[in-house]
Amino acid sequence: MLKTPDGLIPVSDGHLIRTIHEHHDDNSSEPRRILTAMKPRTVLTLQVTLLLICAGLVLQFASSFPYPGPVVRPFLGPKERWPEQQIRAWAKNSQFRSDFWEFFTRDPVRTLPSDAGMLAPADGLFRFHEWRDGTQYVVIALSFWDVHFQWCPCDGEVLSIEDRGDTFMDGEGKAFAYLHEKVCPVQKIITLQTAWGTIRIRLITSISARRLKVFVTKGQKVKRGQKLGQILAGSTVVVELPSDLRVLPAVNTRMVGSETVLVREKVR
Amino acid sequence: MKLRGLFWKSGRFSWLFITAVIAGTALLLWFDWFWRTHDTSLSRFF
Repeated sequence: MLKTPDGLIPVSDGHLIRTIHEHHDDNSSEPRRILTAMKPRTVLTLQVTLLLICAGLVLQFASSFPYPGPVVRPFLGPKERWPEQQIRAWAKNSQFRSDFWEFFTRDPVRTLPSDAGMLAPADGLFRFHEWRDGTQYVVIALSFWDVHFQWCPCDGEVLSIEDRGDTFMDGEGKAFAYLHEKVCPVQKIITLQTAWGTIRIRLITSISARRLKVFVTKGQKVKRGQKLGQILAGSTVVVELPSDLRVLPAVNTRMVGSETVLVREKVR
Repeated sequence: MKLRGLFWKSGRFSWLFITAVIAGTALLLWFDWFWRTHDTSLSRFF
């Protein structure tokens, strides 16, 4: 029996001993040499540190479950990183985690298209397109992951800014868009006089959105693409247009505020 | 005795054990990422 650094190895012939040692030396990589040179106590400290790091990672995973933990989050898209249920829970307490709030209040620079048409005032899903009393309503539903700033769809002048609504509701905005007398969610209605006629843009809040900001004032001349307002949490934007304008995007398509062309021409 | 050796060796943890723990943690986190980013429901096979 011969004692080697790895333990007891039964060998009966010198050639084999040499072979084992050569083999061992050839494969001893730099990390392995460092580890064998270290004192057992140092190795143990290193090992315990590694085990503690792993335990910490597993604990973070477990404490965040079913929502993503901090290690996985950077590798996920916005919808997976901040799942809807988690955002709704935050909204109930009006307390959002800072990374989501930073994402939610992002203010991207939009490049105006060369097309001279009227632009979509907000990001979101083109949810409904309806006509009522000579007005067509373009209902854009904003999700939690959409940019919550709104932009002027075309050049014009602000005729009025009205406050409407008396309660906070959760919903898609379709039923709200036409409510004038009954209980309706909190809204701000911005009326613009433009070359396309008089258009109205409604910013509607929901249960998750308790504040509306408007960055223009009555009588102000506004430019296409100028920032109009901000909804502080997911909701709806409704554009009220004269009925003789042809709306280009199809229902259930996504709109990019200040980039998607909403109207290019009048109906002949 | 052999089982203990996989876990503990002369005053320190076995490197095999440490490697297994690190690999297990990595696998757990990878799977967490995977099921969040892929459709893992079995219904698509039926």
